[in-house]
Amino acid sequence: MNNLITATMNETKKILLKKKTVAIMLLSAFIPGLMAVIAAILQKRTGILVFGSADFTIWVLSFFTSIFLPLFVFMWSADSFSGEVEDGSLKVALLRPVTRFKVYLSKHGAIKICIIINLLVVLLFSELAGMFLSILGTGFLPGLGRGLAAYVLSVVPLMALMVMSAFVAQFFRSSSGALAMSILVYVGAQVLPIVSPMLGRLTPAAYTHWYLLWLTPSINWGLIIQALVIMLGGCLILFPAGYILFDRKDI
Amino acid sequence: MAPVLEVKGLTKVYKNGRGIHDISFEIERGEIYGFLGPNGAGKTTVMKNITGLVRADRGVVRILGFDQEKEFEKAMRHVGCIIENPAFYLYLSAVRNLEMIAAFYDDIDRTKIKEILDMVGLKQFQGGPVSQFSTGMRQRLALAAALLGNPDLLILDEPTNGLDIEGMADMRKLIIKLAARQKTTFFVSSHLAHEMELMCNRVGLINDGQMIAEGAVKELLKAHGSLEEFFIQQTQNDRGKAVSE
Repeated sequence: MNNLITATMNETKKILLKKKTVAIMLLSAFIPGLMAVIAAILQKRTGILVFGSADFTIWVLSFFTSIFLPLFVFMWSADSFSGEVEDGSLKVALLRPVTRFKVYLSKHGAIKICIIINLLVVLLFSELAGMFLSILGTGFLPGLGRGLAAYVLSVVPLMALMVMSAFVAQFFRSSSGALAMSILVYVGAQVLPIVSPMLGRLTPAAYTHWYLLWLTPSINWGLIIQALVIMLGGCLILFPAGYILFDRKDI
Repeated sequence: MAPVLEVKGLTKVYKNGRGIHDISFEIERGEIYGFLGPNGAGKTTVMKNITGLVRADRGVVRILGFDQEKEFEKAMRHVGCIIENPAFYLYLSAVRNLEMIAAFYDDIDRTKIKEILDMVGLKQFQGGPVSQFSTGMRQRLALAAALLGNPDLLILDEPTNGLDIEGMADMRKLIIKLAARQKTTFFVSSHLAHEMELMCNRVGLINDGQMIAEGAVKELLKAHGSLEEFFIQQTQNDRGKAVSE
């Protein structure tokens, strides 16, 4: 257990100390502010209310969960698995007194921690940006409770995406290949509901906006449970499948 | 008392048909066991199998009596190693890399890390990113990482690769010193016969993935003059056998 904690801490530090991650966090802090400024200018010039009360933080989340957060998750997964095979640094962890399963688990844990940190950064800066809009008299009221709930709920589909991209990464010995394939799979999952609505509902990667189901005035429990089952089911299949591939890998 | 390292019937064949076949040997405490063979003979594959980087098709590896496959954590707690190229997180500093490794072992604080960096001559470079290190510096840092957990067994794959003449001599002296003073056991591979003569007590000869001979260095030198001569004789014998079969 101690070794699992140590490995998870090491993996988290490794991701957080990368320049790429620092840039991701800075970008995540900057974008809500930029969106708020654009919204304030539009509102002032056209007089149209761009965001309704308390919608700003959720609108920002929607923007992030569609493009940025999946991309960040794919990058972290590709770097942690395929990238370390590529540059040989996977040996640093595998030659320690810690089993491969714990190393695999710790990499998942570290990416989850980074997802949560990233969501907190987005939430904090979208709330601050929301306050800025409010001060400008836009009629905006930063609704922390609703926003917080949406951010907490959005962790679930991002975890499912992470498990999927970690599985994909096991087939590649370079991070760029793993990243490209994860993006392709994700785009495919977004397009599939348009081509075949029934099949589209069955992919765990199609539920990045899952939190919106919880925020409607009349909650559709059937849809929520269906989405949750598909995401958990995907994780239950892909997590052990990814581990089998990771465990059999010759380094 | 169980040998420090026990390898029995180790076999691993890669998809391209190359690999190792039925490798068996034992190393006792305090020994410096050399693994001598040409490039591509299978030395690194044996070491990768022992440390779990590669899964063997068959065979058993025991480290201090612990089965490497079933009790991996217990077995690896006593092992330090450099396998193939030194592996590090290049964007992190030497100290940060060693801290991450030290976290897996008990009682290793910053002072010990600095002592080890001093011992391998990298104290003044401790804060710089490893990406800026030369091959020799990385090799010395890899040795520091291998020594960090006070291992009973050090597995060193071509440890003098990338080192200059002075560095090679220092590495050899350090290995001999640790084996004599701390009873640390060494399993060292090399394709340089003379290097093995200078530091090993016993050697195993490997060629084409098979152990072709094993013996005490002193006795082999007395009987054959040099390990190089012994190796050539053994490989010629093998070829002769193969032709007659």
